[in-house]
Amino acid sequence: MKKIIFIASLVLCSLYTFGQAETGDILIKNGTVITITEGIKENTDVLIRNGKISQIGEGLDAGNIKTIDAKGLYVMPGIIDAHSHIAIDAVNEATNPNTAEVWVGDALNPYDINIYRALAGGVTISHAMHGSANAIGGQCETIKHRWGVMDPDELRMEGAMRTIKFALGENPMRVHGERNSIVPATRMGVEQVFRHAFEDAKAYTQQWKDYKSGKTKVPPEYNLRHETIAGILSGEIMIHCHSYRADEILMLMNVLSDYGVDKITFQHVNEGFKVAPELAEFGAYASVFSDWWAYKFEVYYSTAYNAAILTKNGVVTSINSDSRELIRHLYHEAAKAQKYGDLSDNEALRLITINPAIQLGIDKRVGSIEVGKEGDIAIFKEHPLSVYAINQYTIVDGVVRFDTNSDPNDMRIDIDPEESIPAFYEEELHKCGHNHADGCLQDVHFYNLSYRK
Amino acid sequence: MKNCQSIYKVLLLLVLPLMLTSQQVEKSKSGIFLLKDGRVETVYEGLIDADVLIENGLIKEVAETIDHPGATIVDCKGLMIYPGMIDSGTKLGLAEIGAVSLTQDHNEIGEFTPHMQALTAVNPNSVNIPVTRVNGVTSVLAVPSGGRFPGTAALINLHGYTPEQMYAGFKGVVFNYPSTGKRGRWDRRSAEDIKKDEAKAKKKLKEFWDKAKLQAQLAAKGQTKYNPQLDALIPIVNKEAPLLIEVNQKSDILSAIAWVNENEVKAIFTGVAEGYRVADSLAKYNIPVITGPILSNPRRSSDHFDAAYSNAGKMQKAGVKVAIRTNETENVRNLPYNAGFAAAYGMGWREAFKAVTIIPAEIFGIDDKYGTIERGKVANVFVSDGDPFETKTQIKHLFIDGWKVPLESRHTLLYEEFLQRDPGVKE
Amino acid sequence: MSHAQIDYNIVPDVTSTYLINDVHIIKSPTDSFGLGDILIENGLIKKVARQIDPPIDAQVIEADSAYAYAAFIDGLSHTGIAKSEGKEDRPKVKFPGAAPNDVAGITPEKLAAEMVSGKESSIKSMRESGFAISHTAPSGKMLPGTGALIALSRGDAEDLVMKEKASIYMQFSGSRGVYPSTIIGVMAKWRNLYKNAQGLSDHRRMYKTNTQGMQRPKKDKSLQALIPLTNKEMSLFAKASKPKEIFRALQLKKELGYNLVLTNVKYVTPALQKVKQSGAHILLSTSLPKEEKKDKKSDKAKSDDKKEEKEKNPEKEALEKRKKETLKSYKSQAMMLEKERIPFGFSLMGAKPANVKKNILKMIEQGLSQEAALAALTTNPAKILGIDNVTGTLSEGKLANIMISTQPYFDKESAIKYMFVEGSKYEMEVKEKAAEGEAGEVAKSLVGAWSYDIEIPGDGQSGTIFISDAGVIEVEGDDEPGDKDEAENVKFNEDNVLFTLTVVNNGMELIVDFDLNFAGDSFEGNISVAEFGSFPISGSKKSSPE
Repeated sequence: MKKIIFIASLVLCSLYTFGQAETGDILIKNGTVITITEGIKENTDVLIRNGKISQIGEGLDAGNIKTIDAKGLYVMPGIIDAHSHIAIDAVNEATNPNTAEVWVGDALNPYDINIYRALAGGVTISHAMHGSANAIGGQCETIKHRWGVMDPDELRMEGAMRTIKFALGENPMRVHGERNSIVPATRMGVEQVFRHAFEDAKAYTQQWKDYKSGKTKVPPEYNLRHETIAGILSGEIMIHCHSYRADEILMLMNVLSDYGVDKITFQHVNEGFKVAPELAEFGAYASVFSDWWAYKFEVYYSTAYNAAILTKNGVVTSINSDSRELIRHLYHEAAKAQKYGDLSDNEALRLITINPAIQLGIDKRVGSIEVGKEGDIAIFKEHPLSVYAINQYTIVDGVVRFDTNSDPNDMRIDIDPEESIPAFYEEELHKCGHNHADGCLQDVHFYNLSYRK
Repeated sequence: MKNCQSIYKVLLLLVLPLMLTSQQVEKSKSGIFLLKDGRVETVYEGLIDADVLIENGLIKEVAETIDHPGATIVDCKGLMIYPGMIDSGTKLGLAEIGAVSLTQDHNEIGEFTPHMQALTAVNPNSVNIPVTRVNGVTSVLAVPSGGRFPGTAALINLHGYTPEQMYAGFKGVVFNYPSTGKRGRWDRRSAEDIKKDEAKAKKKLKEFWDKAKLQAQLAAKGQTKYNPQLDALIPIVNKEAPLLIEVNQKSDILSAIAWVNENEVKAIFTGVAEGYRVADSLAKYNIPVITGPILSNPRRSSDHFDAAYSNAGKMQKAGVKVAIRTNETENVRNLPYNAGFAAAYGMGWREAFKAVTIIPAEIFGIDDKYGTIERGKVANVFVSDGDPFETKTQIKHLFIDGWKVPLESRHTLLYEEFLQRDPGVKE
Repeated sequence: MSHAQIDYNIVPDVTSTYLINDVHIIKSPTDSFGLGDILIENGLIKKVARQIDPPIDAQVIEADSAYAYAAFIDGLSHTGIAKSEGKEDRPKVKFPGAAPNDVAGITPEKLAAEMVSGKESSIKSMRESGFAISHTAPSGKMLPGTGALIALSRGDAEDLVMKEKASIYMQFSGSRGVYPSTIIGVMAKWRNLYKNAQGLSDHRRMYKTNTQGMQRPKKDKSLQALIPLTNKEMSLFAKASKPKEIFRALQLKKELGYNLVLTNVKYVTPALQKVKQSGAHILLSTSLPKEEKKDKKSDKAKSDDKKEEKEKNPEKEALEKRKKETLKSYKSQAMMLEKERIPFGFSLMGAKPANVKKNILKMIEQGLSQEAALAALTTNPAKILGIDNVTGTLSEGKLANIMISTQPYFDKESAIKYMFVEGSKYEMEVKEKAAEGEAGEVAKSLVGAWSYDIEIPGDGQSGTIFISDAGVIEVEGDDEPGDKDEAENVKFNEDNVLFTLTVVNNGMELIVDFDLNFAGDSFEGNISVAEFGSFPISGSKKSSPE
């Protein structure tokens, strides 16, 4: 019996670590290292110390630290998803055409099993986004898949660039115009929502300037919405815009030019291929589906060759999931870009590593295997662009968060004390919201019901 | 100035027809085709070096060397020849644009509509069809959805100007077995509510089935009145035709097996997401299964992440006859990748390939015509430069019903038009 | 009470002076006075002493060595406020993104004090469960209103209200169809509201001193209601039952800096250290997750089924096990807070008052001390609500809020006999119950030697449990063969067996509670070690007596 007590006290101490997210030391031996930025290195070791890549080379010796034998395996940077909605409890604050002030970082859910399932597919970072119900949605959050942490703060990728969701076309038109009879009901109206928002933010900034310089006596009313938009104008917040049609993409670039905003990632951007030269000229980025199309009218004139055309026109392009299903096999989604447009292996893998990192403003830290970068790694059996690839380990900050050798069925963290066997869902929704919908109109349901005429 | 303009107009008039024809979709060709010097996938035993002769829509001959003076030679040197893949569960042809409801022809109003004919609503000119076939998928089952008995599915070849031309010889009534799972995130029914709903559904089912049996008895004596709902069930009741039973949760599958045994139905189970949990029972009662999509999430939060990837392989290993479906519309083209994932997660290449060729042909009772490249079978064939499950592989030639189908679709046409757009950036 | 009208249905009290004679006095959780008398006068505790001579006007209550406690204080609920009737109408507004505050669920200016009705049955049921004071708040969406402290006595609403503006109550729930409709909307809206309340407060202050060239402050009743929060004259009571909500509430506190009380907390474990650092207070919910009742009727048949199931379905077993562990950890929350030295009160929001004791006893089973449980019902909520100077203990000069229990309150069989609320006496009916405490009979099937395995993450422990036909239980660990420890407090109840084992380790005495359920030739259950939590145990029969 004495032994019980001893062990019990150990368990208690280790269960709830607290504070900064954990980092680890690990040596990955003899793998085929796909660095993305520095070519492929056969039979090479990667050493991670304190969560950072400290050495890449042959025959490294790191003493007595955790070692993975990657002989015959492919070692690649952790996969990055520039568009997802996992690990958040709310996606759309759909009630207003502009809700810039809301932030999905407030709704992080570190217990979402989809984080683990994404890890199982080698994904270490995802961009948890607000939905596309409104022209100006909310702010997004870039998260690291540190499965097992209990504190939402430990899921955040500290220091990642702030981002905000914009949306064009059918979704904001449907939610506000068609169903609630408020602007915008057209793509013309969508444009004006942006112009109003930017003007309001400029005026707001001026009011505070006047107050601070003593020109006015009473502090202006605080407005988090305007403050946020002002953050876009000052370059502190980057826009990620849900978009499909070529015309609306051009429209937003025009609006941004008028307001001196020069950074944007277009999301989905199914007709990006039609305006690839304009996107490249603007310096806009594109984050696309590998092959989704025809789920709504504005994606009927799409092509799965989109990523290839954009890439060949010099647009920094990524492939995203926007789905808790696709996020599990982004390596396969990237692989399809080889079928549709003949990208090289490295071009295809860039779509899910360094390119999304660039789009999220974190490419100095992740997205390739280079000394000094963060120790986010996926290790595959078979080449990751093969349909037979199976992820073996996913490492985040030097900590193994997925290990195929230690991967029991039930990986939940959050257990319902009243439910014995977790419910079976008749249809595992493949795309967010409902089958054959994009861009997550999640949470919009109730809103629309209450206003249906 | 004026002159210049009119000259320009005249030039334009001359050029315009040329531009149009160059944009026009290439037509399929019929004729005699000799596929020379390729390697043929036999489905059962791997690749063999052989030539294939296609004539009158059929595979006329498969032999080490064939010579046919009248045939159009298709050079297959260094290439592989595969039987066209069959997706045994889709909405292809029945739906065009997801969010536009008036382009959706798979879901009629009413709980008992087994007489709704999918073949009636198949749109031969759906843009989705060429997009699908250029990936080597040559036949699909077009399946209605909705109520308890939503209609009659039809197997179609992905080429033809009319539904009748496309029809590939199998129809099956679809039956959504009463389910006890949650319908979605917003389904807040308690366990008790779900049980009540199930009991209600089963009672209705029994009434319907009893009526169908009676209708069948009367029909045998030539005494029926017009009752299309029940008439559609007569071949099922008489065990002349199989019933496609959509069922997914473990307990529901067991219940469906009992129902099938009790009513002596020739059953094909579809969906079967938790088949791996009851694979032995499925095998024991010899119930063939059409499962998929393989690329889908586990249905329970406590399931292993690869539950859906590995389901097909686990059932197949337990002795169940397993075909693979995508359950897709516009992306049925991903059938080979669904099969590829099943292969990677335990099923192995050969069984996975069978699951998209000969097994569905067997399940649908058309294996004398489809599923392999053998003399006398329908010429549904594609030629590729490698394993069709691998995304790098490119398809080089495609034959459906003996037609040589151009490898064009909206996606390839847009690619060709926009890869190097001219003019580029506006001035 | 001011009854101006003649009402012969009521016989007025003769006196407001009471002497409670011969009662065990538990002055506070840490101060047990022993047997003595308590004198109540004008609603206050006049005197507590070994022996008090009854004043001439006193009504003497013979307590027969019953137990007197400071009556309980409910940290937050909706006591005394009628539930809103029927379905809410869906708001009809032109611009759902700019709905008026009251439509959007933002009504901090709504006073619970004005909504309380003395006729509400919730007041009576709270009182009958030992409570004399409730902190009550309106129900609604994001900011339902301002909470009030009420005495749980009979009378007009005005008489009940002790403190009209006691708190601002907040929930992380959006309004249906209007902004803020989601958790992210609520968080953003709160930041906006709070900063504008601060701004308004500043503006008003400036305007008071100098109106020259200055616009007048806006009249905004919602913002005005929040000003005491920005001045720390009030605390925010945020409903935060689960860890995610707790983290969110702490995040907002960190950003905005007000005083926070986490309310209706059901599970806090992962956020424990952050709570500790934040200085936020905790009100634990008295409700616990539902437990499946054992079906006793067909025990035999069931256990056969179960056995078969188990053999076939280890997956299901594993899931069951995790559920049970989680359930246990919910029941251990109070114990854990005590261990971490985080003082907490209880909140009865959405909980049945009649279940309070039953559930607290479950928490005590998991290792919560009786002292801490009592503090959570009395002194801690008094402090959190800022009324510890007037109530929470049986000290002279404090409110005569007294609960008298037939036996020590935390005894299973105790019953509340009297309640005093500010000196008003209420007498309860006490149902007689059969005495308990016998060991029970040993079922023949249990006699013999049983192997056991205790599952501890990373390791385990095994050994043998011996059960004699006389009901003696001995435990021998495999790590110390030959060293048998005899169990105490053995209780047999058909297939359920409870006992305790005292283990000495490095001079530290530890008590291990066993709770085993036998079925055929195997058993399973839990052991709990007061400070370390609980671990599953299972085993099977090694031998039966010849």
